[in-house]
Amino acid sequence: MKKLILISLAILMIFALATVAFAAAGEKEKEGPAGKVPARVGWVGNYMMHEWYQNVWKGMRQRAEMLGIELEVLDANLDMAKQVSFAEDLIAKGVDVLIITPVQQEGAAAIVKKAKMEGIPLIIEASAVEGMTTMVAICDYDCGYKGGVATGEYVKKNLGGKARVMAIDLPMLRPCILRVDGFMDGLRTVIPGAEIVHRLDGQGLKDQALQVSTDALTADSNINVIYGCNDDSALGALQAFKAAGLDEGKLVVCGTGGEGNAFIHAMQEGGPYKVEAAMFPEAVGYECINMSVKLFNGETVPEHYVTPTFALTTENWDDYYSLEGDVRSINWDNVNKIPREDQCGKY
Amino acid sequence: MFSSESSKGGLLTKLVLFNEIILVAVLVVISAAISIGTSQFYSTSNILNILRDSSMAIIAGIGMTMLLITGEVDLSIGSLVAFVGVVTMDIINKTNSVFLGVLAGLGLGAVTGLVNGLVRTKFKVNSLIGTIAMMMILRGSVYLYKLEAVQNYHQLETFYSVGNGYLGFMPIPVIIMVVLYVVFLVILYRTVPGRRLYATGGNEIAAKISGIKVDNLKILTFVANSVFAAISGIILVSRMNSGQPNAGVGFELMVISGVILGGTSLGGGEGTLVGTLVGLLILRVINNGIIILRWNQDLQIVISGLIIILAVYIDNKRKVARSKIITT
Repeated sequence: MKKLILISLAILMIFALATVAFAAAGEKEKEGPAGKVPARVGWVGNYMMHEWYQNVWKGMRQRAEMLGIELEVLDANLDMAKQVSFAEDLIAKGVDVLIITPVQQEGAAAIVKKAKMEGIPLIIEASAVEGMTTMVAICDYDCGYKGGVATGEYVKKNLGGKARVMAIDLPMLRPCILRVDGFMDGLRTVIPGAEIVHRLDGQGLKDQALQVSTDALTADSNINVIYGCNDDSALGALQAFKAAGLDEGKLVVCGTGGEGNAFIHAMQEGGPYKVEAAMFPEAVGYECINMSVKLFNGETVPEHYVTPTFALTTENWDDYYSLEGDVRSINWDNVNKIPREDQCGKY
Repeated sequence: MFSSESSKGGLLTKLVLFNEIILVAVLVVISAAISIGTSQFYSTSNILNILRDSSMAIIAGIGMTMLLITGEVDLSIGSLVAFVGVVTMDIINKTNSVFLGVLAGLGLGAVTGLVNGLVRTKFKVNSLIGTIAMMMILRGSVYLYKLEAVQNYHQLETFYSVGNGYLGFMPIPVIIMVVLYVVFLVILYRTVPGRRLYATGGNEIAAKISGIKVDNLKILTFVANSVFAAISGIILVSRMNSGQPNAGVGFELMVISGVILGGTSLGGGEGTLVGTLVGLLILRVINNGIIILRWNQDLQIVISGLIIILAVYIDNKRKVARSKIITT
């Protein structure tokens, strides 16, 4: 009997120890950047079929899984009314933190007010909204600037030190103007006489960039730098350059964003696509979750939390990304080491 | 189609009656004006660029002209161009066969046209509404199929040549366009089915009474229109060297604008392929000229819009003049 009691006690102790150890492990896993983690976070995204947002979502999902947070995601898909309605639904469902990617800055102010009234911490992703507590976003100007510096170094080393640029812009969007301005400013730190020969509106689309670049190269094909305010713009312009039968050996291309796999393929081809002003969409999602935890714990947060940008080149891109088939993976250790700006060089 | 009327008058009458002559004059004036601004405009390379780039819109314009002549319209061709491009590139990647990829692209075009035609003729849905719905279905479907651009993994030179190659000095897309254009010029003006298109669009009830199978003819025209758009999509994907799900945005409006500028009536029963060719070339030359003159690119949209209003105004004047000549 005594033996049975001892065995039972031992089993109970082992079970109790295992439970405590398991619970402790669970607690540790649920620890966020600091303190408690919210149980549920909701995100009302916008135009999520775009590969940029697919990768933001991927980073958000990965970080939420690491911290044991339940993530609920809805897509407003360019519809402001839908965004307000989805945000209200998520608040009613009792999410602990809400993230939104505004369809319109003015319209999203209503969500900011509603979240404040309900006492729900709110994070704005991408573009500022009046009355917001914090925004998680890249610095467009600084990203372009870094791409410009890296491109300038390539030009100085390989292309004779003179830069004549064809920039494919999207002037309807302020962030794109900032990227092109940043690129030229960065380029001129290395090549002071860098000249912008063509500044075109490619509408952010590869087919449009191809068409306008084809025309522009007819007017003046004496360029040796192509800069695209996104990857499709850069790749469309490169295609026009190739089709015009110009010498690719005397060209360097810099794209912006790194929203999908296209820039990796272009770099792997070994052609003139040498620089990517990368914005790491996965890191934007990752940091949205980190900021959710901070807000949930009542920590003081900056009005603009800047996510990393970095000039990837053919030499270093695989330190940050790997590609297997169509699936790319981010190297979190290296991306998280990239120094971040406290604020943008220009807004 | 105005041959019997034109014989009644002299040169002035012909000028009034033939919209195409006015359009050619407009094209010449615009080209001359741009050439004064910059000599690069009339360089061989720029002319070949304009022709190569216009070939996709002109090919789609052949189908759209025939469809508008029957009194119908198709707004889904921009989305179809994107979907065909993505599917074609993907199939070639998987099979390493340009033939199978192109077949899949053309097949997708044919099926889309068939559905558009059946929705119009059997469900009696207005083609403006039906093809807007198809535009949404196709754009959504291409994103469901592939969220990001399909890269060229096959690296087959044959495929790259479709959009970027030359036969002699002539770009291959231009040759494809010219062949299709000549064949359908003959079909439209020298064959019974061609005349039936005009009869159907001019007066559908009269066409039915005279024994034309209007529904079948319309379905066939929808299919032809979508296959033409699919050919444009295949050329575009070859030119871009990747299948872009976001390609072809606004393509349908550009094609329809050029066709209307060329004198084809939205009401059906009227229109010529010559007008379409010149109308689309005018729009392309304007876009090209604004860039090589280094003007503000926003002017592309403004000037194209103004030209279309002017063209419709001239067309209305021409119709009034024609009716007066015929009645006197």
